[in-house]
Amino acid sequence: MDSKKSKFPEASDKELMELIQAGDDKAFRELVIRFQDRLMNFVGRIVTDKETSEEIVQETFLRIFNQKMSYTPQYAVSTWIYTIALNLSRSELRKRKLRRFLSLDFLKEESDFELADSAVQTMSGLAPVLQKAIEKLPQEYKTAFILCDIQRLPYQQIAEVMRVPVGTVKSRINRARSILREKLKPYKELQHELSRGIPQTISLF
Amino acid sequence: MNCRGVSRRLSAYFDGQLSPAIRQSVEDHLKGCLLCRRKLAEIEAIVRVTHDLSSLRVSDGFTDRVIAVTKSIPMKKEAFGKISYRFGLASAAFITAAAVIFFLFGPTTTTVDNIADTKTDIKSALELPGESETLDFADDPSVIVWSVPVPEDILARDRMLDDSLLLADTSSKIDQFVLPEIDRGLKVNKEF
Repeated sequence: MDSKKSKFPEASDKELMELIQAGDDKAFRELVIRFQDRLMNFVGRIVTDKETSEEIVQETFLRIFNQKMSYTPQYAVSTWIYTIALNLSRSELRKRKLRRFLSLDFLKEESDFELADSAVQTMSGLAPVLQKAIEKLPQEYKTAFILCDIQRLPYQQIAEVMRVPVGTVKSRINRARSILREKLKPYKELQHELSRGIPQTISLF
Repeated sequence: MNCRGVSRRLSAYFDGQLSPAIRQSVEDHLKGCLLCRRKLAEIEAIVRVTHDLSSLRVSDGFTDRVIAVTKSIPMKKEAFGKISYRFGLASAAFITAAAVIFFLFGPTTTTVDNIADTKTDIKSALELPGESETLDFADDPSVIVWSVPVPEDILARDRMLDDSLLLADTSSKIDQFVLPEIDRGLKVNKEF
């Protein structure tokens, strides 16, 4: 089992990076513990294959370790880490696309790459339907949506990770939510979710 | 603002990413539009369910595996690597620059002809002995005598400075021009 008890509870991400750059192995371990599940929750929803996702997350940490001197405090550490993970995920998706094209697997349904997570089966209500709908979003909309609504990053940071203007991020998130809304509209679970209570923004009136 | 404009901004409105003026316009529209209010409620429901989605987690032992892999990689001395790389680059640039300067401003290319010219120049400038010649003397054939070739103008100058030559010339001029004049003068005086 991993020792998840933090040895650097007070250190910020940037302070951790400074220690890592100075050669502190314990600080690197702390960074791995701090980001491993967040990255898995991000990469896993883009790549939708647990084994490959874990390999990508591991590769992300190896890149961080090997290129630690290339980090500059100009950006948040999380931005840098998410950018590496996103680039590796995109690379994996490109490889898959090529493999599927060469093996004519593109004729099959996209459901071949559904999320291999036992949690999906245990979801209730709208969650499993939403999970499948998120997987089928266009890639750039999906990335923006995951970074915003699952990773809960601010728009500015999403723009930095995706290397697009903030306006583009707003547009992509809006499009992703609109697509999900349209896809989920026929499901009675959405009506149930709406009946759970008046949304906070509506309560303004 | 109409439904289309509000619809494009609903997501940013929900996330509080609109400027105060646009936010006010959206809220004014929402007050009177049931359809847009419903869209907003649906977005809020979707985001709420998304927040509740179970997180994906790495498998047990992941941290240790990552640390083990980083330790198995041969230690890269990045700082030193960068320094040695830069030093190598600087050295290469310096050598190239030195080579260019040498070929542009250094000594001219030496050929066999130039060596001969250079030797001649030095000899004439320093008036050093020229090519050695061996003179066979009947008495002692092994004796080597260095001949010094003297330029013609130097010989002429030396000739002018030679006292004996000067005296000889002067005496001849006296006999030829001065003495007859003296004789002529004496004759004129005798007539008066």
